[in-house]
Amino acid sequence: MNPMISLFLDNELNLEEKCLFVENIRNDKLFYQNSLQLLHQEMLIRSDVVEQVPRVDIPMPGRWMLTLKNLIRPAVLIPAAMACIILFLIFLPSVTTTPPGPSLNRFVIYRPEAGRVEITGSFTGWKRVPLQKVGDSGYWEGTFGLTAGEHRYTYIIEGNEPIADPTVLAMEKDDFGGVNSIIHVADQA
Amino acid sequence: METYKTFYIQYKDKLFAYLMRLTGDYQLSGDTMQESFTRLLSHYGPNEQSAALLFKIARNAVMDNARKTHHSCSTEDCREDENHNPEAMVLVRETYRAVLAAMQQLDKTERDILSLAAGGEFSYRDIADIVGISEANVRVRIHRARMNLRKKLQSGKDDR
Repeated sequence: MNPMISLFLDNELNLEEKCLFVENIRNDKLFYQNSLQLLHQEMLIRSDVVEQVPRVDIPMPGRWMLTLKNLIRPAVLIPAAMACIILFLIFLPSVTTTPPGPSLNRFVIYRPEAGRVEITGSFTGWKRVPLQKVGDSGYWEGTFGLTAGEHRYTYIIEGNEPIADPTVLAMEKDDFGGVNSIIHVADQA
Repeated sequence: METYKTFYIQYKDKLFAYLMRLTGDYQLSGDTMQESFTRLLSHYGPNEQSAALLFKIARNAVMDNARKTHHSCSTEDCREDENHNPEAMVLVRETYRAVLAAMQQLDKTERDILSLAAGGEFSYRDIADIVGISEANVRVRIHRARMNLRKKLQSGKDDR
């Protein structure tokens, strides 16, 4: 059979060849039928293979240093976590929503000693987005539009220390040995 | 490091799907995926985010594993065990099981290049580079692979 269908499937035809391909489809019934069959076969081959891709563990260089740093600073972490919980409870009712689009959600973390705090998550496309310092209060904040459904995120302190949101109980380990917080945004519609 | 994480999230499922099509083995695909991302990170650093390089590493790992398995497993029973893992097949989507079974019957190179092309990620030039054959060869063999797969899928249907 004419190999042109494979070039078509793999986007390897130039414009002239595309013209020829369309003409062949019109003039040659067998070519048309074969092309359609291979298109359906390709849709099948390119569909999802498994229900769930397995969780794996990608070791992150330098992680042990981060763990050690966390261990030696419980005196800072515990009050900070409590402050975050209180602040989150204060801010929780004020979360504004604009249905039916994404709802605006405010993320706040207490890190007075930090010079830089970022957030990365499913709603940022896992790109780091810097949080803004709230005056001299020690708090950092950012507001993001979240679509309804489940979202995962983590804060990053000083560019290298990932930390789950201490105000959110639902967490899961990611494949890099870190921990992501999980929140569920209700459908506003 | 975060950009590497983005790269990982972008390619994890694609690499796993490629490995499944190539090997038909869930466990081996998971292990190889982990090994490939880890090798890319440890050998080239978090800023090296070439999908072609990642897939090349993964493909080489599969080939290495096949060589080792071939050396350590030469009896007929052993070969049967490799291709028959009913527990792992449960994890494969029902509609895909026939495709995987048919893919495993293809010639090794045909399966190799079709598995790469099916991800829609690479050009023929990329595939030629990853597999180590000429681009012209990819053009010919990829079509042959699709035609052979159609035959295998058809004969699979006829058998049922």
